Amino acid sequence: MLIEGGIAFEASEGTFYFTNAELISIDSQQKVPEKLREPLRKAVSLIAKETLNRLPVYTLKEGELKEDMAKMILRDVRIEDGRVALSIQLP
Amino acid sequence: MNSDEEYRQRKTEGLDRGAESLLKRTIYILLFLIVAAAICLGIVRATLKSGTTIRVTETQINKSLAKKFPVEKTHLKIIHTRLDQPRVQLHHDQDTMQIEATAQVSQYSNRLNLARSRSAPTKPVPRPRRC
Repeated sequence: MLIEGGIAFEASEGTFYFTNAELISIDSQQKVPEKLREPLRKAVSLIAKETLNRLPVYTLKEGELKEDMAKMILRDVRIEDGRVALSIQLP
Repeated sequence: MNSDEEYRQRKTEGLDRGAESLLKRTIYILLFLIVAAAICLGIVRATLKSGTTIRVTETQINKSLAKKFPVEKTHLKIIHTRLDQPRVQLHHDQDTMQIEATAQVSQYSNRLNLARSRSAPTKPVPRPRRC
């Protein structure tokens, strides 16, 4: 199954969370009867949302100057080419 | 002034000079440390003022996520799910993240021994004897 969502950064913990999980597709190994496909999709979608919403995906390392700074003076979180970029800047 | 007094005076002067040089050395070391700390702070402040970026790669996220899986849950005591083998993909054009995972869905009732939950068989009640 493929689930899409956003990413949120909790500065106090230095943790990235997966948010707004939405089921995109299911690729079933077993043949599911036509009339069961929609209920199954709904059930899997609910389960995926419940399981993956607010799932911590990555925590910044403790004791590294830049990463500790990010917890204090984070300006922006965005997704670049295959990377999550955290911008830190003094006000 | 006799030689004994001279000797004492020289000794006191020597000690004073020694203490003075030790004090000077300590002051120089302290000054050096203060200047070094100020330079370091200045560099850090200048770097942060101009802005800096921390980048976390897909591989790092995948490694971290793999430690948290498999995730098993039972919903409403009916359905048991197991999510495993997560793979993250980051899409910068939509600012989204996709997680691909294998999901196993099974009926939780299959795991329960329903026979045990039934009431225990009662002992046969002896019929009253007719006199």
